[in-house]
Amino acid sequence: MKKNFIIFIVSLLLLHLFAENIVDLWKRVSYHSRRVLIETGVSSRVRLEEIYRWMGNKLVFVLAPSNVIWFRTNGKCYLGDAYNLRRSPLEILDLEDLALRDIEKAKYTVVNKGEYYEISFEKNGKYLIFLDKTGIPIKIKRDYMGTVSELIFEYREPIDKPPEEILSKLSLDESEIYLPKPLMALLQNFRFFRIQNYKGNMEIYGIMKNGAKVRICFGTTPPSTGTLTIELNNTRLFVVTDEKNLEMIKEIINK
Amino acid sequence: MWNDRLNRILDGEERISKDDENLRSELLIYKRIMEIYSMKLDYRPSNNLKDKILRKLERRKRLPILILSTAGITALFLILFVQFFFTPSPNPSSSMAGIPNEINLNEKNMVSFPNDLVEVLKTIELVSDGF
Repeated sequence: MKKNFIIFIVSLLLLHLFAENIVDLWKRVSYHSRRVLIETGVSSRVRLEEIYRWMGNKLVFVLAPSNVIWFRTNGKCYLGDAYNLRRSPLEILDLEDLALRDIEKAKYTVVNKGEYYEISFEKNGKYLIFLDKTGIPIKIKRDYMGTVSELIFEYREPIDKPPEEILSKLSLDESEIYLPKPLMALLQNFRFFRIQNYKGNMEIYGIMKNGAKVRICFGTTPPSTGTLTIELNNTRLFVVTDEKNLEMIKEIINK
Repeated sequence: MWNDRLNRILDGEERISKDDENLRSELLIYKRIMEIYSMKLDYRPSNNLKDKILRKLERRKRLPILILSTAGITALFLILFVQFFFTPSPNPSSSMAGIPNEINLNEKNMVSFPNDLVEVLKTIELVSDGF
C-alpha cells in the first residue's frame, strides 16, 4: 500500500516535470519550416510562409498571398517586401508567439501520443498544439471568439545556427514605418484586427484585449452615436464601439 | 565506612553477632540484589528481539528524512493545487452583447483611409496573428 502510494507520487512528479520539459524544449527549439495559416471567422484568410527560428529570433518569408519579409530580433520587429526592412510600428506576433506567450499564464495539459505531444490550454482562446519529440511545432490551433486559426507546419527541420547567408542579405533600417500615434496606441490594445471593405470604404474591424468589438473609419463627420472622433493632420478618425469601451479608448489615446 | 565493613564481612574477616538482626537482614537483601543483578547481566536477548530493537532505532534515524520529504511533497502539492485552481482563467468578452454588427455609417461623409496607411495596415494585418 505504502509502496503503491510512493510510486503514484513519484509518477505524478515525473509527469509534471516531463510536461515542463516538452514545453521548455518548444520555447528553446531552433528550426526551419514551411507553414500555412488558415483562418476562418471574422474574415477568412490563408497565408503560406517559410520560417527560420533560432535563439529567440524569427525570420519569416511570407510567400502568399503576397511577398513580405519580417524579422524579429532582441524584441525589435522589422518589416519589408524585399530585403530592405524597416522598423515596424507594431510588434509582430504570429500564432506560435501568441501560444508561447499565453501558455506562460495558463494551466495546460500534455498528452504523450508516442510520435508527438498534444498540449491544450485555455487562455485568450482555446489552444490545441501538437509538437514533435524535439519540440518543433507540427500544428497550432486557436479558437478565439469564433475565429479559428490553424498554423500547419508542413516541412520541419532543426537548425543549429542562424541562416547566415540570408541574414547577410538583410538590410535593417531603424527608421520606423509611419503610423499615426493615436491609431498606433489603439491598435496595440487590440487582440487582432482585420481591414474590411465596407460599402466601398476601407475600415478597421478589431477585437480589443477586453473582448470588445471596435470599428475604426476615416471621415469628415461622425457616422453615428457611440463614436469617438480623433483628429489627425487633415482628416478625422472615427472609433465606433459601446459607451463603456469609448471611455477606456479615450484613456488609451490620451496616455 | 559501611563499605569497608561490608567487604570485611563478605571476605569472612568479621563475623556478624547473632544479636545484629538488622545487619543480617540487610546483608540478605544485598545478596539477593547481587543475585538478580548478575542474572540480569547474564541475560541475552533473542535474535528476534534484537532485530526488532535495531529496526526501531533505524526508523528513529530515518524519521527526520521522512518528515522532510513529506513536508516537501505536501508543499509541492500545495503549489500544484494553487497553480491549478487559483491561476486566473481567461475572461472572454463580457461586452459582446449589445454591440451591433452593422453600424449606421453616414456614408456620404465617409472617406477612405490614405493609401499608404492602408498599405501599412494591410501588411501588418497579413503577417500578424494578434497582439
